[in-house]
Amino acid sequence: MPMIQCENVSFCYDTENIDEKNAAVKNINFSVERGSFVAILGRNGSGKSTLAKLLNGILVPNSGRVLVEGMDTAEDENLIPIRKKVGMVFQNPDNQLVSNIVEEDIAFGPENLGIDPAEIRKRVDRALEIVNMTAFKKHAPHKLSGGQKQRVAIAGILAMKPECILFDESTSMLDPQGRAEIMQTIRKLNREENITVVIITHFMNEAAMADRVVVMDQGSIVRDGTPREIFSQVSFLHSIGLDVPQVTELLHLLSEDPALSGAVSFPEGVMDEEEAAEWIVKLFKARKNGCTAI
Amino acid sequence: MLKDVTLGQYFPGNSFFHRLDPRIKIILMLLFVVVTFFAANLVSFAYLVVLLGVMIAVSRLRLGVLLRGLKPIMVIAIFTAFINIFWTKGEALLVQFGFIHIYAEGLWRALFMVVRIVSLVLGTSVLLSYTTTPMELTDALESLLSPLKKIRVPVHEFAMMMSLALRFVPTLVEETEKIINAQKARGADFESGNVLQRAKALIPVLIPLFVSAFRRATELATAMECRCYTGGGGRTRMNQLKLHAKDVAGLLVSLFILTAVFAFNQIPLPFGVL
Repeated sequence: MPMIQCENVSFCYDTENIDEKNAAVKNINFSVERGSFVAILGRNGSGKSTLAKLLNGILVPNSGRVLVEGMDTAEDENLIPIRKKVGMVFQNPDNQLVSNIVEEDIAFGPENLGIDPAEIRKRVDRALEIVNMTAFKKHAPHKLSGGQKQRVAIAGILAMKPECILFDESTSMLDPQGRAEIMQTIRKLNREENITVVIITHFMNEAAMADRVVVMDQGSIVRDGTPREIFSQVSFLHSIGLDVPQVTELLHLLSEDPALSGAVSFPEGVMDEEEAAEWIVKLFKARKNGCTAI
Repeated sequence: MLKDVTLGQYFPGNSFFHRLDPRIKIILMLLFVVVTFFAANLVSFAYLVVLLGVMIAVSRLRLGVLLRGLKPIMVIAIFTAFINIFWTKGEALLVQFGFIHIYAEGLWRALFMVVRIVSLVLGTSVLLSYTTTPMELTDALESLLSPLKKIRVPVHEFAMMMSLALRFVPTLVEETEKIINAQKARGADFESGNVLQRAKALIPVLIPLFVSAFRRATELATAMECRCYTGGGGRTRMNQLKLHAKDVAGLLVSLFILTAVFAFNQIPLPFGVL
């Protein structure tokens, strides 16, 4: 059974006239496998955040259903078990912290679940360790940097021992350093703690870190594949208002350049700087030797 | 200006007051407030000032922090002193200048009022807000008011609301500063004009602040739901309140120290009746 499964899910914010036209997400069929790292990509208004909110029952579909390990999000009695399994980290770190003390904030989730105090203590310490914030456990969140606050928010979810965490544009309010900290933490959660990760983002290099990229446009899923498969479709991504990672863009432009036409045939969808560098070196060598193809 | 707002801020530490059971602290704070209002002569006020000094020393809070916390109430203190000096009638006339009569009683009364206001603010900060985390405060209130649950008063919800409000004080202060700067960049003028004009100039600050506060509240509510918050029922606490023998001893000793004011009030002194 997949971790999360969407069956023909549609959702419309305007509950009075629900139809195709003003639906935020339309007829989505999609599932998240256990242990995977999925990125949902799309420009503003593409429905990606709405989809994320449907995945743990913050929103309930108008039609179709969302199943978390077989539990329907539309059933009220499933909400607590679902949220225990599927945590969510939001965009603004300030608006999700409830306490003036880091460790008390992290304890909030497990406290709500009615867990034994000694066990909460253990979970809080472990969560702090995972996000590397142990040194700040007695600090006030408003004195931390954006990236640190967001790591506290992640620890708050981790302390509930979720199986899956949704990140709803969790890096979009951070500076480059904070963004790197969070992405590193997310990757660690997926690889080392075996947590299923779904990130909602419009940063291409973040999406490139995932195992699977789902592209949304106008409320529908328009592409679904490995990052390489997705980013090889440069002109398609441009047509729906998305960019590709800079290296991918560079190689794409080089391969389309008439002056170099035929000289090289770069593979599409290269996302790794080193791989791109190798190809560019090959291009130089080929030109020097007067070869027309490599 | 807004940096001075220390209301609701907690300053980490390990002093006697930091470690004291928050329920005891709430009781002591209420008692302190009552005693401050009952202090009625020179000896009791002097005693109050000494007591406050000892409390500050024991709390090991930095004096600068405490003084900054006093700034916002300075206006009220000065205004009160002014009213008392000029409007109190007494027997010992000190200055007479036209329609202005200043009596010794007025001066004393002004001094007492200022001491009263300052000690109310300092006392409550030292005893409670600066030395108690909002979560402790919530727990303590919930625990003290829990008998009211029997008559269906939503005690947990009130306590939670209060602690969230305290949590968001620094965030909203920061936000207000940002909005003020943004409006200044658009040419807003907050520094000139009379009181009315200045108050009017604040409208473009307050409206965005309120809008953003509501947005924050919605997001916070969603985030809390995602962390399985369903109200007070079935919750446990990581740091549980346990009343130790030393807390009870502290309460009894403090009770004795505070109620001494009532004894001092009995000492007959001039300007004693307030």
